[in-house]
Amino acid sequence: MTGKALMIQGTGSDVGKSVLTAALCRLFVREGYRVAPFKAQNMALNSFVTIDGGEIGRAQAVQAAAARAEPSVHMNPVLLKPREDTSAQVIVHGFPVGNQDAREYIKYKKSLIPKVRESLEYLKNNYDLVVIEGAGSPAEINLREHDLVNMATAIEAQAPVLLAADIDRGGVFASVVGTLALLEDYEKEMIKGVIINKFRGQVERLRPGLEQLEGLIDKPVIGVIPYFSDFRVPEEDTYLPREKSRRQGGKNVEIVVIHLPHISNFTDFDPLEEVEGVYLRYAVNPEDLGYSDAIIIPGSKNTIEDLANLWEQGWAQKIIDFSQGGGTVIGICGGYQMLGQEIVDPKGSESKITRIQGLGLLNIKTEFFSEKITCQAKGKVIETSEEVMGYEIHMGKTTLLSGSQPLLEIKQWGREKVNKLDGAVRDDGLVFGTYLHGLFDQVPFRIRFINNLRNKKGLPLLKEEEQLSQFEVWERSYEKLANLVSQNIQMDYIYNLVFK
Amino acid sequence: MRGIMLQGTASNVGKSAVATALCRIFKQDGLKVTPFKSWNMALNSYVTKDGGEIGRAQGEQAMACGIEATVDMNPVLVKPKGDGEAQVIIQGKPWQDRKVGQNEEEYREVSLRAISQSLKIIKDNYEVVVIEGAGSPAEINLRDGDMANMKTAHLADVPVLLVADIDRGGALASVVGTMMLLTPEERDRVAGFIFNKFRGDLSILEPGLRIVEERTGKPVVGVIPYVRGLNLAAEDGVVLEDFKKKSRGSVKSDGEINIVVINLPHISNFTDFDALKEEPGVNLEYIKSPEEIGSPDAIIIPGSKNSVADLLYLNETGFARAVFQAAEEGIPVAGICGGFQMLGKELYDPLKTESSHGTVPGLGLLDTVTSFYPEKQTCQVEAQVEGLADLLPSLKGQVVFGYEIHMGQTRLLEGLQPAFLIQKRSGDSVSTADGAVGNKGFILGTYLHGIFDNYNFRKSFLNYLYKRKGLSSNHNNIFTFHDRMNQTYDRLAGVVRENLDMEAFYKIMGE
Repeated sequence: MTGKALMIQGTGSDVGKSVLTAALCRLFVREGYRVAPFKAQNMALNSFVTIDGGEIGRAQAVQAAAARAEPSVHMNPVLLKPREDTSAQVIVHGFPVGNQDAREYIKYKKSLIPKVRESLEYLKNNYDLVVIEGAGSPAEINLREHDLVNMATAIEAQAPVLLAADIDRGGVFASVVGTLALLEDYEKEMIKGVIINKFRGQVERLRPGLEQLEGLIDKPVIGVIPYFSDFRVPEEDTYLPREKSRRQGGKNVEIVVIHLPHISNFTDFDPLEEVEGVYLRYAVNPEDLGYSDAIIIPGSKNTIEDLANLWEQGWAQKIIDFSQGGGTVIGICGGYQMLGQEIVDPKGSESKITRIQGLGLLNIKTEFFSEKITCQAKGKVIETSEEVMGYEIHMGKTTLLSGSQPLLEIKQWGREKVNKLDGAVRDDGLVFGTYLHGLFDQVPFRIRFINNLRNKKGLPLLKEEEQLSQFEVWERSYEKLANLVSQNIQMDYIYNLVFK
Repeated sequence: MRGIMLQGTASNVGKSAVATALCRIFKQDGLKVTPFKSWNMALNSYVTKDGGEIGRAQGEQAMACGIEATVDMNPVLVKPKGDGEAQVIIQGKPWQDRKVGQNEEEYREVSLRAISQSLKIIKDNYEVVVIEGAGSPAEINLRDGDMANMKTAHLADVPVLLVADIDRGGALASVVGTMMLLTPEERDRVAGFIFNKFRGDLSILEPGLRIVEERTGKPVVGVIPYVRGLNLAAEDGVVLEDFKKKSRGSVKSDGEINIVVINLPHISNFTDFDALKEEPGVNLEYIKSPEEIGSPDAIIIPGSKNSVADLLYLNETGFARAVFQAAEEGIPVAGICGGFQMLGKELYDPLKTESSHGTVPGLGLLDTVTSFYPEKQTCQVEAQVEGLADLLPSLKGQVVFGYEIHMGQTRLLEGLQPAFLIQKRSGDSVSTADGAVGNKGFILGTYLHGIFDNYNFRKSFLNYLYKRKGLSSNHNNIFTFHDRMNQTYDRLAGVVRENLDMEAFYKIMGE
């Protein structure tokens, strides 16, 4: 018995496809269907690691959570992680196959069609409904013959398509009319309705325009979704961290994340931004450090180059001074490696530099191997037994030298039970690092970390029971989102489309 | 007179930036050039030398042309006040406040008459006009009311280039769709397309461009690369929102000095703070709730399209209390225009010009009372530093430039010092006190927009903040805002010239 499919495509990027897909996932789950999200190809720096250790786009993991389904590599069979301006690491079914520039990738794409097909079949065999998200616009005619992610997927999945358009920016009618005009007849046939997204104003005033539009394209407008901005889960193609975090609470704990040139997995710090009284900001230049209670060095797509850059720019000295002045310094993944004595890359797997001095704040040493570790991990903090879970993505192996203590005890790697140590912490607890992404997702460790900083400043401590876990934050968002969409879209029409 | 008009497939496709670049290019080519935008909806305005109000972008484009801005460059300016109401400014002077759809016919008649008149004046005085449209010309639900796009192209009788933003995807479709939704006569006016904000490999895009050319029968005259860090003035609230929400291009990092600007519901003239934002080491943030205040180095209350409503908002949300408390703790607070009025003891609106409330208590940080009268003061001013020298001694005797746009008159109660002494208004010598300086801490209020564009004021203000924080200031090399803008125009013009088929372009304009 194979499942059904439904697809959301857009007239452009940022029209809200990703969020609409998550909303539809949740709405069908509410009706008792088993639902899986799918996007053939994603471009993103923030990835998610599945239980089997595969990497997928974070947006699909978010949609899987909305669908209450276990994230799988089949939900995003092709992931491109941008490296420089034009090249990207290509990840297929969760695992890297190499780095390619745009022209190479276009040629390579053909060989990915069977992989995409395989994933779609897997999902259809295991779920009642697959809600598929497209990418960009299906009317990029210069790219049509290489299409993997829009109409090619819709046809492969036999998915009726809903075309989403963003009215907030103006030109919405032209973009819908133009998109349909540039599609081939067989593609046009696939589009069963239009969703107008991000509308502010009174629908009645818009109605005559919508009727004209329906006449011009001979397709129904099946929803007008109001503008909303408080969906608190990671977005599809956020290449860069948000510019500013919100400032909360009267008195702040200020945390600075160093905006490395090749920063990656910065969603690690989203949970910190949710904590009352925390002001988290990203700093590019050492002059921008200013006042802070803690510095975080995040993960990097190119650790050695980014470390070299820290030295050249004067960041390194600033961080060392900050630490010597009693400041708290944390490193995650690549940032953890940078905190050590040195990083050795004998085969030059990351760059031409084969050896580089670290910041020397932790007595550890890292060596790179070409083998990449990607896995979900669960464990606990050794000193306090707080449970932590997250994921690891790295190529290096770090050795603890004399005087440094491990930070975590890892009990599970993916489905496998293990017993290993991870990370390092200095005696006084003021410097620590780990390979575990998502370290701050669990409430107890997060709150203790913030309370330590508050304690140092003489601020009253936060209560652990008042904090929401990242999961709860997401869950609330999905519910709110699903309610809003269901009130403004013709769900009957969509049910008929999918299940008639 | 020759001319060219830039219309867009949507808002924010970069029409203004391309128009600014073309202004500078024509100036470089030795032509007498002027910008023009018939109808503008914007919150940020610019005051011309004779006291007229126009859109900020036209003020800037005039700078790019190397000429003085006049009200004819933007004869109709609509400033939203909230709840569907907007103030309509005709040739620089307020005409009336109207709700959307209200006395439509009269509004249209008055606007079109002004547009035709201003166009004639411009034709008589310049060799080339660069006209900018608004939004998309293909909003089928609004077509009848749209004066800014094809109607203006027709009146001015100039060819149109359609600008599309390729960074967001769907640009090819939006160009083809826009052409399809135009009438045949309108389509005839379109001479070609410009694809803006391109990054990537042009040879991959080219087949798509050829198909667009085939489908529409019009040429692509330019593909302009994504230009980072331009810092041109923002036209309206949408841009501010967007800038804050997400920065796709570049991340402005945070600084040694943190300044918060209260993002009032009717915020206006927030370009006042662009020069501050540009200073290295300064982090300027727009905040929407009192919880976000934190412990900044300074708080600014900006101008407002509706001071009374926004003051009520500050009182209701707890912002008022939070700002008062911060000031008590010694955090410097500055209020500009509406923000200055709000810092006072009360706002008095006997004729209810601003809202339905008669009297509203202010924050009480300055001993002032502001009354509203329907007359509006708009003028460029030159002012000498007065009481402000008590706070920033290095400014003693110095002169600053700015502009006023306000309806209220503010009275200083006993013992309060004005901040400035206005010496010239629209070129005429006067002697009028402006603003006020608090008696303790650092509380500054002034009607002068553009105050932070003054190098001397900005430098002293920032040095004060640095000193207060115990940091040494490296702000001796603060750039002058105008020099920086001039460089920006040249850079922008260079990029556009390089990527636009200039020969085809001049041909389109009729050599």
